[in-house]
Formats: sequence, C-alpha cells, structure tokens
Amino acid sequence: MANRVLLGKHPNHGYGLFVSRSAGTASGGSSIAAQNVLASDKSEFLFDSTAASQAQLLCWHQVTTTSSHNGSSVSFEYSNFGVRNFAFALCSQVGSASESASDISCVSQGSGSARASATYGIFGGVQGSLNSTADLGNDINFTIELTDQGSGRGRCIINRITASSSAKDFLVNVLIFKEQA
Amino acid sequence: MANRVYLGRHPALSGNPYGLFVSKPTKNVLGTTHDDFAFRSDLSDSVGSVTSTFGQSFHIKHRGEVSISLTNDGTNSDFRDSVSITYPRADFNDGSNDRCPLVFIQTSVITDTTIQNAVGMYNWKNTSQDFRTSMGFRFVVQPYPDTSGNGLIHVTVFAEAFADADGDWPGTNTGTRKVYYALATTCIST
Repeated sequence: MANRVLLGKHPNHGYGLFVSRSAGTASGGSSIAAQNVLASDKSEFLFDSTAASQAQLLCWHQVTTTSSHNGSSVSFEYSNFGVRNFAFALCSQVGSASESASDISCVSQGSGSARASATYGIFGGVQGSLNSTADLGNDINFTIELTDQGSGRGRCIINRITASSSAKDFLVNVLIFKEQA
Repeated sequence: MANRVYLGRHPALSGNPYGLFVSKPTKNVLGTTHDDFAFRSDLSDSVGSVTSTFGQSFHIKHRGEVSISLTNDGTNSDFRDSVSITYPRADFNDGSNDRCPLVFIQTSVITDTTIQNAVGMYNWKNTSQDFRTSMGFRFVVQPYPDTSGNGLIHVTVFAEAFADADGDWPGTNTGTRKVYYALATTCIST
C-alpha cells in the first residue's frame, strides 16, 4: 500500500503536512494506483501545506430573485473572517411560464422523488434550443459583489440587471471561498 | 523556520479550539489572525444568514470522461451535439435527502486531447444573419430528474470555428471531442 499521509519533513518539499490520493477506478474501468505521498510530483496531492491557501468553502448560498429585484439587488451577509474572499455563481432558471422559484431550487430533494424542473448551470439552468423566447429566463443577467463590512462580516450583493419587463424568478447560487492565494 | 502545522488544541487562538491548523508559507501556525492560516478546521459562520460549510474543501466523488462526436445536423447547420452523464444521487444523500453536487466540466479541442476548453462561448453572426456559436460548450445539472435514483448532467458541445476577415462562415471542425467531468461532494446549502 502506498504511503498516504506525511506530517513532517518531505524529502522534496520540506516540512509540512501532505496527503496523497487513494487508489480508484477510471471511467473505463481501469485501475488507478494510489499515489505515494513521498513522490516528488505533488500536483495531485489532496492536501499540500506548501500552498498559499486551501480555498476553503465558507458557504454555498441560494438566493431567489424575482421581478421585484429588476434593476435592483438582493444581498446576504456571512462570516468572512476579515480576509479577502472570492466567489463564483451558478444560476437556475425557469423552463416554462408556469414555473417559479420553488420549482427550480436544487438544494435538496427527498430520496426517490423527483423535481425534474430543477437545474443549474453556468449560464442558467435551461438548455436546448438557442431561441430567445421572451421572459423564460433567456434574458437573465446578474452580477455579484463582495464587500467587507468589518468585524469579520462580509456582504454578498446580487444585482439583478434584467429588463424592467422581466417577470420570472431565477435563482443565483453563490459559492464563497476563503481566501486569495 | 516558522511552525507550519498544528494538530490538537491551539494554544493561542481565542477559545483554544481543537483541530488541524496549517499556516501560510512564512507564517507561524501559532499566530492568531486569520491571515496567518492557509487552512484551519474550526471555521464556522457566526452571522447566521447562511448555512456554514465550515471551510469544506472539494472532495471529488466522481470523475471521468466521455466521447462526443460532432456532425452537421443537416437542418440548421448547428454543428453541435449533446451527451448525458448520470451519477447516483445516493452518493450525495444526507440520510434522508439527496443533495446537489458541484459539477465541473471541461472538453477537449479538436485533434488534441491534451488541451482542454474551459467554460465559454463565442457568438458569431454570418452574412445571412444566422447566429452560430463556436468553440465552446454548455452544461446543466439536473440533480433530481426522475425517480430512478440518478442525477443527470447534460453537456452540449459546439463545433469549433473562427470567423474570417470578410465575415464568411469559415467552415467547421467536426469530429470527436472528449468531455471531462468531476463531481464534488460539496453540497448546496441554504
């Protein structure tokens, strides 16, 4: 079995904590050997304390935006620990005129039950035709901003910059990480 | 040399929390400010408007690749094709509910599987005013599509092409691409 965890002086990388990956199976069914934590190539290590940051996830928060937010924003606060964070966002959008936010939330679902209308993606949650059917989410547009509020609190602002005529809900899933490399 | 790793009860942090602590290079792990640490296991949101993920790192539960072949569909000259990837919802279950995994997708470029496309699309309008999309892909995650017990990732890959100087459609590179996927156990919270 390969050595998997090293706490101490690595033969190539100095003192620190290092964890290498376990064995696995590739998608084609072939075996992938475990990685020796004593290896000189640390690019596939699961943990490497010589890195400047481990980009720990502070929250994945789902925010509902409605037509009432057109041209305005919705925000939430979280613990940012007084250091710089970074974030990225995913989007869920309606796929038919009868759907609303509750139909497209991806948070969780009881085992064995379905919510087929719930999807998320980088450019929204509906994919298929490249048409521009009005008001079914194809016109979604938003930005996210992070600001430091002091005292270890951060604020995330989601600006819904859709047209004033946009009537449908869409959800923004924000992932916030601590901190800059 | 600075102390870099501490496992146990931290002697200097407020409350002396137990855990694993790793400082940034050149920083002392016995420091007391958040800027000292590259990793600490005692992070928890105290504001209360979000559900804390406690500084969780990504754990890739599934990864793999599938092939996809692009052809002209003969109707709209879309030069795109789709592939669906399934995964077991139970792998992201918290005991009673299935939750949504974080999905990363990349694709190869034509003739070269060592170069991967990141997410992105370019739109290009040809002389007949059709909109066409080149060099890119989209994906959506459908975590609870039915009662089969599987989640679904739907990936659409678009053929690569570049507009030339006079705006003519320059032809499209069809052929086989690879779609690479990784599913992280980091689950959505409210």
